[in-house]
Amino acid sequence: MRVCELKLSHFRNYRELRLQFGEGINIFYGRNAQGKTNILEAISLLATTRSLRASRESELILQDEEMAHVTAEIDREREGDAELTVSVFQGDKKTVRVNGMKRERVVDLLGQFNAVFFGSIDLVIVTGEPADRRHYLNIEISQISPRYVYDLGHYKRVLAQRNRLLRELRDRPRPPQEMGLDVWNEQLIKYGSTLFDKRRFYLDRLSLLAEEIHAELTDGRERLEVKYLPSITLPVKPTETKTAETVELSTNLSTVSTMANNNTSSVAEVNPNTVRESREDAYLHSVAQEASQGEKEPAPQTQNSPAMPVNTLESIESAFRRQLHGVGTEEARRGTTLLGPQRDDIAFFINGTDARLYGSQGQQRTVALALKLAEFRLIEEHVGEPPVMLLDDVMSDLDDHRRKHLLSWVRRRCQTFITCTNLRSFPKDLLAEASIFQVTAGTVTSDVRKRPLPTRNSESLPEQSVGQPVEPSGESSVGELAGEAPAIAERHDLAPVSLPAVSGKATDKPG
Amino acid sequence: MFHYAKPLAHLVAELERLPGIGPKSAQRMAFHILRQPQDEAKQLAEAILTVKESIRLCSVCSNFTDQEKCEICRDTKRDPALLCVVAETRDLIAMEKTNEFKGMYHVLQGLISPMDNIGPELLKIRELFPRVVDGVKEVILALNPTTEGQTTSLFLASRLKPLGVKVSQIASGLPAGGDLDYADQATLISALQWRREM
Ligand SMILES: [Zn+2]
Repeated sequence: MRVCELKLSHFRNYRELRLQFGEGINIFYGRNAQGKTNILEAISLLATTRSLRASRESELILQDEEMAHVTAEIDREREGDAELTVSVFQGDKKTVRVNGMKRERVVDLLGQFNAVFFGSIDLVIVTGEPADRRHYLNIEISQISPRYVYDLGHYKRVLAQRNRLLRELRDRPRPPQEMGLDVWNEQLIKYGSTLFDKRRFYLDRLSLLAEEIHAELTDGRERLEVKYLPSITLPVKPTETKTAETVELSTNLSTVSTMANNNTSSVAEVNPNTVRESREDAYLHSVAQEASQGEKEPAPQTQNSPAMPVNTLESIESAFRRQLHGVGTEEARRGTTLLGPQRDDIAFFINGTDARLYGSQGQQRTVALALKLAEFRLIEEHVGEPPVMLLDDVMSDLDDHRRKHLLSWVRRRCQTFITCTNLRSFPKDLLAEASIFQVTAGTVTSDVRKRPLPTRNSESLPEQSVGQPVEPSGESSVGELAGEAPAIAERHDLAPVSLPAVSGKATDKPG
Repeated sequence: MFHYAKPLAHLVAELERLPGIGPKSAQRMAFHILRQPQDEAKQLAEAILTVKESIRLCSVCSNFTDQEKCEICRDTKRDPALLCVVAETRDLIAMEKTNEFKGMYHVLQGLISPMDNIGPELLKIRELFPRVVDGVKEVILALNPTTEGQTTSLFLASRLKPLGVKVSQIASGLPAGGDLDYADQATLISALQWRREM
């Protein structure tokens, strides 16, 4: 997967910008606050539909403008090329287009393009609040399971509605049944359970990958353990238990739960017997799966196939129902929801000690990096091709060993976008094959010494080789850039290296 | 600083209270009305007053009507054993446009939504039960597939099923979050055909 061309309009500090990228490593260098990260943010927006940093999405819009657009031409091995657009409007409204066609919902963009972002802000995955870790999980899973986003949206809405109702009932007591609390409970259970289910499923795989990568990053000196801490006690997965739990279903809830189940599956009746049966089914099913796969992990699933057998989901639902019932009195007293995915967390242990509390910053950063690289692998497994890697100003944060490891990891593996303040951290042979852009106050200039001047279409020259603001009077001509180049080379000690014209690839792209 | 003359400011403020009308549109509308001939403006004012005075809820189905019973409830050729529950009159009209449904309707006049202070007791649910016991064989729930629509469907199904009536839900071939009244007719027809028992 790679971004061939990126067009920004009224996005952050860019009025109009058009850039073409190299297939491998693309480096954006310049002083801080010049707009380097904004380019990564734009690419990330196309993958996640979410802003990396803005608390309100209208912050993405250039000052005094009504809307911002990000458009990219994406080259995909599996699904062919696509042009993707995200538009952000004042009032935080967004629309998305795929090949120029407007899609009904913003989430319809998910799955079209994948990117993994790693920057210093990702340290909060380890050091921050549980909400930071849930946010990380949500963003990661949404890239491989658009269905998750749909369920998450419903869940958040149900949660807000149920909290409001619980507060109302606390302040003005009425029979909860009359006000439909039982139905909101079932909705909470239905959507909450799919979130628990998916989070456990993906985190299981993600932690294996992260633990492996972490061992590589630390030369096996440190052992990482990633643990999902769900807000409820999840039923042990059928593969891990041989005794079915006793099923407690209060009779007055069973009518409603039957219907809630009918919404998602074809199960006609929920009575303890069928639940027990279906659990056995789940057990048998997974044993059979294990047997057929030997030592291996469950095969990566495509986006369309269900992530797990439905039976697992049912056992989570009944566990959630039982535990929710258990806190019913306390919820009524406090007037708010006490259990659910909104209270999940993840814990990280290095050699058995909690990395959040006792890890050094270097260790915490390594955990964050391992998680991001694991996410990369997870997406690669699910999508069938590597996502794009976005590395925001991480070169100076990592020690020599980890930096080398990271660069060799991304090199020739995927298209990578790196922001940095200087080019010193890069080996010369890497710089030789990379596409290099200088970013100064919202103007992006590609390193002209490396780029052959396209002669066949001289009129579009500035746009083809140079991204620049459209409104400023067009003075940043090639001549000016060429004049600037030696200065850049001097500053970054690049002059002796003779640089082949690799980044010309993007320019020479047919069509 | 310049302000609109009081009557004009008043009109703008009133128009701004309408759903989907921002300050700019409100001003545009106000100036349009100002430029209209006197009798056109009068017609608009009268239409607003008449609708408030003459339109009420049908005593049977809670649809909007200018009589005691709405046109559909007076239609004797319709099948009283089939009852379609919708949230709003505009959803009823969307269903009617398909020309596929020949039963009766029940308009809830909203969906359960605690955040909007709408509990089941504020909807026309109490009026639904006597109708269901009185010869209805199947209740078809045709509510939007939003969180609130789903929850209201579940609420109704759990309360109606003990009465021994068949309860079904139109298939959610509708785009999630989509509205019935925007759904094209073909989508709505197939959603009706592929309804599932709840
Ligand atoms: Zn009527």
